[in-house]
Amino acid sequence: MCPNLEAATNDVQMEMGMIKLTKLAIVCVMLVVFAANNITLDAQTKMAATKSASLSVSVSLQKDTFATNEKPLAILTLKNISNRIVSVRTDMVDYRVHVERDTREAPRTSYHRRIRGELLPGETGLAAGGVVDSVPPGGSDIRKYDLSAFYDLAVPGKYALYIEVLDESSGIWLRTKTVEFTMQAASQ
Amino acid sequence: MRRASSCVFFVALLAGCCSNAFAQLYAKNKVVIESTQVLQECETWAGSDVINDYSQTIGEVPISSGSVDIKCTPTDPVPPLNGGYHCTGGSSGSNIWDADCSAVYNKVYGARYRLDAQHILNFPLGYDGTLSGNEYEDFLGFSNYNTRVDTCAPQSSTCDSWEPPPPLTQRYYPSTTGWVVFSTTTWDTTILISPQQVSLQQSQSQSFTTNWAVGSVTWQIASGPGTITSNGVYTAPSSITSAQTATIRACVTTNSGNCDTATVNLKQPVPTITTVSVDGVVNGSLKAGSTQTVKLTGSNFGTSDQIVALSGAQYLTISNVGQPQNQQTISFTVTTSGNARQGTATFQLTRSSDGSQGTSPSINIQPFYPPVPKIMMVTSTTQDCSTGTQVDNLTTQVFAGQPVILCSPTPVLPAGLTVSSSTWNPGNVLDLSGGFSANSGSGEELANPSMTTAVIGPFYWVVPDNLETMTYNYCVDNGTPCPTSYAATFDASGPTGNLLPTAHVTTDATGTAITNPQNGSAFLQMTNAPQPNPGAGIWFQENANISRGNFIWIQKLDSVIYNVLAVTGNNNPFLNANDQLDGIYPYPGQGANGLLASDGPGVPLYSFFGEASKWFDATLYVLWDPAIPPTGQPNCATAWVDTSTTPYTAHASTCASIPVPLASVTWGWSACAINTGAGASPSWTLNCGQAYADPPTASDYPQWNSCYVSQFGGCN
Repeated sequence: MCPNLEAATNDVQMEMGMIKLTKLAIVCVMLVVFAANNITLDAQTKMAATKSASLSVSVSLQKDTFATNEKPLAILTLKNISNRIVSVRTDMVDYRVHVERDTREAPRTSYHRRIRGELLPGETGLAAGGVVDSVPPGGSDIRKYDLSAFYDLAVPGKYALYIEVLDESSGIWLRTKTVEFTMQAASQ
Repeated sequence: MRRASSCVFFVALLAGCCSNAFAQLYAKNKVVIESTQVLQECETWAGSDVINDYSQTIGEVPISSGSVDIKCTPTDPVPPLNGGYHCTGGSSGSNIWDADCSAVYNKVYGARYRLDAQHILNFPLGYDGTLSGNEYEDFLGFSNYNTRVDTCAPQSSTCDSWEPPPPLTQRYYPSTTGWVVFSTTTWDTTILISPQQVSLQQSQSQSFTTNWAVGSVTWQIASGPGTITSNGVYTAPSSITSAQTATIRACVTTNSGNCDTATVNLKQPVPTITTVSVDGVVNGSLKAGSTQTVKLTGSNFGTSDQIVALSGAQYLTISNVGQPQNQQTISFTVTTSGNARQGTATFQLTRSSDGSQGTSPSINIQPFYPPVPKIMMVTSTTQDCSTGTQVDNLTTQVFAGQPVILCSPTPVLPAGLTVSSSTWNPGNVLDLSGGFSANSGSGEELANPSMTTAVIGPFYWVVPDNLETMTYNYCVDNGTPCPTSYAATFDASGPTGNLLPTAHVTTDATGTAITNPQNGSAFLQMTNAPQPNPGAGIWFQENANISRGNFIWIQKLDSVIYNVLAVTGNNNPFLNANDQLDGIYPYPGQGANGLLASDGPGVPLYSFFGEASKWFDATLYVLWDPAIPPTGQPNCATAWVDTSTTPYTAHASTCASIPVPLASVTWGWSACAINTGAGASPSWTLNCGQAYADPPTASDYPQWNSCYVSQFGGCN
């Protein structure tokens, strides 16, 4: 009854139908696990109990080169490498996007600063919340980030990207490998 | 002297001249006396110096009673007639009338007497003689006086001396005021018939009279048919086949030369219409929009008679009027207009020979009765209604939230008739919606479509798994009852079973946690929801059974309040929320058909905070969209949110259907934390935390006009 989660989640270009399929699969697994009643989840407890990461993280880009008038899309894959369900937030509480150009961090946008609590006068913080995904063991969750929402990438050139992810079950910040992309001046 | 002379003249008037004057007056009494005539007469009579001397006033005289009273009222005191004077001799001056004097002396005695107050001259009815001495005195009432007879002996030809009158007793003196009243009865001297002209129909009678008040009158037919009695009662012949004239004559029996005539116009009987037949049916009805043959039956019709409609004329056109048959029937054609109202029609026949008219009994005008309307279901408002699917008197399977467009084919109406109003009547208008407009900026149920047009929709039944009905009626402008369609029944299927969701939440302090309490990423959050989603703060599961479509979630923030005690910098960097959409429409659904939803509100614990708390209250609505694709499309996607992006990305529905509300849950969470660390080395401890979820209830559509931006929901 439950689809192959691995196959469903590896395709970052999946259609919405596939996303739904993935959600269905997640729910199926959730229900199975719930029925088994063999797992007790408490983030704080779990953090204290083990320091091994439950997730492996990787990042890729939709493509290597973007025009400056395009939205450069980064794709973060979170894979549950534990034997228990891992909760994955969908807000930015557990994520830090980092983009550099010439070894220096690119200028952060207001949205980015407000997420990080680095507020300029007059700026307000952004509340967190929303959906919390559950990733079954061996399963993956995909997060997509429009990098232009986090950084000012108007300057053409080469950029480096990595993303840090807080594995709440272990309290460990996981960092992806760095990937590069190029911003090109938009053709007139 | 002049006055004495006048007095004598007055006596002369009474005795002689006035006798003649009375006679003249009497004669004039034989004609109708107009007041002016009488007054004139009186004036004439009073025109003597004597009367003028007394400044006589003429009063009004009634004339209608057949008698005349002439009242002459002296306004000046009458001088004492202390015997007066009389002429003792012939006249030799301007004030003496010899002849008169002589005549007077010869005829009248008591010339010095004057009428006393209120003396009345009464002329008896029919008196036609001449006043003579005693009569005259009688009339004057002289006999009641002690008249003085003073013989005036003939004198010389000149009357140049006056003798004082003999002494009079006081009783001979008139009062100082007085009047003369003439009372007389008048009649005409020429016979006149009244009335002078009448119109009669067969066997009718008319009584004639004359003004001849004295003596008998002889009546006769001068010409023409009919009879007349000796009393002047004329009777028309028993049969009059054509218009005729009769002349009657009345003569004074004793004077065949004194006659008058009157005219009797003998008329045919008026036409009589007894029955009206329509297309051979007696008392049949005229039908709106039809041309029918009408036959009138009766009597006394003429030739080339005219026919007009009286009542109902505005709807009737008469043509082809035939010739009456045997003066008893006449046929013609009547065209009744299509917009004829319920009513009656009567016809009037006008006989051409004399213009006499007859009116028919009334017959009914039968208006056009509009047909019972049909209800058709179409796929667009521009579709030809007649090509739709008839749904009245049937049960049609639809889905709640499915767009429904209904119409009623325009009825075929006679020319001149139009539909004046139309109305759609849902069995329960509360089960009907005009739609649901929703995006991150605003959301509301749309008003119902107009119920007074021939096409209604699109509209949506919004109560799932329910039978709904709709009827349609319309009115035409001819006053007939407005026909109502048979009911169209809709089985609006949708989610079944328990439509309410279940909220899963840990209500005590274990439902709150702080992650990274010792660094700048510290976060106070609602968490530890019951299995199988403990990573969430709360999760919901819709329990309804569905065969298609998706559940749509909408979360409204009833109230979100942050309280922060900051060591440095901004005291409270977070915006509170109040009755706002939570970040995005719709709220992300999870699982198959979106039957799950979750939330995990929290607050970043910035290092510069000393304390932080959050009170969060929200209402989560769950709706269901049947995912009906637009016409011509095989499928569609209901509104959904891509949560793989941050912020989430909203995707509007591509379906023609709308979500229908199922239920809502009000829930909340509050927590607080204290930072016992310092600077870049915070140390947060949880101080309070609790949550709740009220029992879910059935709900209507949510409404919002503001959106609260968060990390995940950019209100895009």
